[in-house]
Amino acid sequence: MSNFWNARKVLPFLWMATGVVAFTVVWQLMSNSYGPLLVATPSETMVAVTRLLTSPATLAAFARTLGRVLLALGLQIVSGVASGVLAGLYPWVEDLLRPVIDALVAVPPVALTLLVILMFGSGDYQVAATALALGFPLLYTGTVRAVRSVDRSMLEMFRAFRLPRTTQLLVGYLPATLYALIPSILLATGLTLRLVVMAEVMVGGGSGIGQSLSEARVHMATAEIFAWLLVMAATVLMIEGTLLYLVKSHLLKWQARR
Amino acid sequence: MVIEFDNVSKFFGKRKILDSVSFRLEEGQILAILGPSGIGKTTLLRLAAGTVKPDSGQVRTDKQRFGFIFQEPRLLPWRTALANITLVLQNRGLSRDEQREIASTMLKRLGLQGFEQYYPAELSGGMRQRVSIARAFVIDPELALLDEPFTGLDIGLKISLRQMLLDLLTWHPCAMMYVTHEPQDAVLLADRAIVLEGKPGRIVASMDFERPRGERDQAYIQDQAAKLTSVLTATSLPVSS
Repeated sequence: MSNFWNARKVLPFLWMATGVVAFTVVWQLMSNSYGPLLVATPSETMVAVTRLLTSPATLAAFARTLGRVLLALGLQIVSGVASGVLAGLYPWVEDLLRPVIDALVAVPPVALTLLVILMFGSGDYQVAATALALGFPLLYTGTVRAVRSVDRSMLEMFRAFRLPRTTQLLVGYLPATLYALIPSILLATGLTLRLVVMAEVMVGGGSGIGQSLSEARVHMATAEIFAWLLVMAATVLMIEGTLLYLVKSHLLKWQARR
Repeated sequence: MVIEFDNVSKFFGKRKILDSVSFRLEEGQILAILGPSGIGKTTLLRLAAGTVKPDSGQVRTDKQRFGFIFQEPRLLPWRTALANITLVLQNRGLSRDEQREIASTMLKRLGLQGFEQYYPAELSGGMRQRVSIARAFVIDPELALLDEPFTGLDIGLKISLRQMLLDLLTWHPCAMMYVTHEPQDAVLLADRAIVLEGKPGRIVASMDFERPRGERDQAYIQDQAAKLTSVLTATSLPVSS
C-alpha cells in the first residue's frame, strides 16, 4: 500500500522530468537543424540566463516591468471589480458597457497597442494603459459572473435576521464575490505580465523586459532572447504559484480544511 | 399578541400562492403549519419574517427579534461555527468578547463545545443544523420561525435535535411558527396546528392541543397525531407516518 502511495507521489514528477528532457532534446535538435543564430542551444541559453540573473541592468529591467505589471493589475482590479459589481447588480450597466467590452475583446491586442502608440506616444503610463485595456474584460466579466453567482438563499438569511445592509455587503456579498473572483485574478496576473512585456516591445518606453528583448533582437542575440523567454516563463509560474499558495493557505482556509 | 395575519394573500408573478390567510399567534404559543409541498408554508414564514411583503391583507407584529431556522443550515462557508453565530449578534450593543462568550455558551448548550473554530464544511449535516439552531436562538428571539429544519436528517438525529429544540424552548421561551410534514412532530412541539390546502393555499383546518407540552404522554401524542392525520387525509394530503 505504501509503495502504491509513494508511486502516486513520485510518478507525476517522473513524468514531468521526462517531459523536460524530451523538450530539451527536441530543442537541441531544432538548434542543430536551424543553426544557433535562429535557435540558441539549451546550453547557450542557460549561460545567458546566468548572465542575465547576475546583471544589475537585468534586475533594473525586471523591477521596471514588475512595477508596470502591478500598476496595470491594480488598475484592472479596481476598475474591473467596481464596474463588474455595478453591472452584476444592475443589468442596465451591463448593457451600457457591453459595446466597450465587446470591442476590447474583439480587437486584436497588437492593434490596440498600435492605437495607444498613435494616440498617446510611448512611456510608462502608455504601457500600463495598454495592459489595462486588454486585461480589463477578464476581471470585469469575472466580477459580473461572481456577483450573479452569490447565493440568494444566503442573502435571504441576512434579511430574515434583519442584519444591516453594510453587514450584508461586507460579510456576505464581498467575500462571496471575492472567492468567486480569485481564479480570474490569478489568471489576470499572468496575463498582465505577458501583456506588459508585449506593450513594452511595441510601445517602448525606457527600460523593461520588453525593451531588453527588443535590443536583443536588434543585436541578433538569440541566446539572450531565449534566456528572457525562460526567465519570463519562470517568473509567471513563480508569481502564480506563490499567489495560489497564499490564497489557499490564507483566503481559502475554509475550503482547504474540508 | 406576537404576530397576526389578517386576510393575507400573496402572488408570485401571476400565480396566487396564498389566499386570505388569517391567524393570530400569542406570546409563547407554538403554531405548527402543515400541508403539501408548494402550498405556501415557507411563504408564510417569509411573510412573518418580513423578507416578502403581502400583496393584500396585513401582517402585524411589533416584535423585532426573529430567529429563522431554514430547511438547510445556510451558514456562511468562510466563517467558523462561532463566527456564524456572532454574525447575528452584531449591532446589538455587545462587545466582541461578549458576543463570543454568548455564542460559545449557545454552542456548548447544543453539544458543539470544541467545534467553535470549525468551518461548516468540516462539520456533519446534523452539526451544521445545530449551528443554525444556535444562530436562531442566540438572539433570544421573540418569534422563532422553523422551516422543516429536520428534513433530510436520519431518524436518530431528528429525535435528538427535536429534544434539543424542546430544551432550548425551556431556556429561551418564545413564540414559534413551525412548518412540518409530520403530525407527530406537530403534536410534540406545538400548541396549535393549522393545515393549508388548495391552489392557492388557504387554511382548511385548525386544531388545538389542549394538554400542556410537558404533560403529553405517548398515548396522547399518538391519539392527537392520529386525529391530525385524519384531518390531513380528509383534505387528500400525503401524510408522513
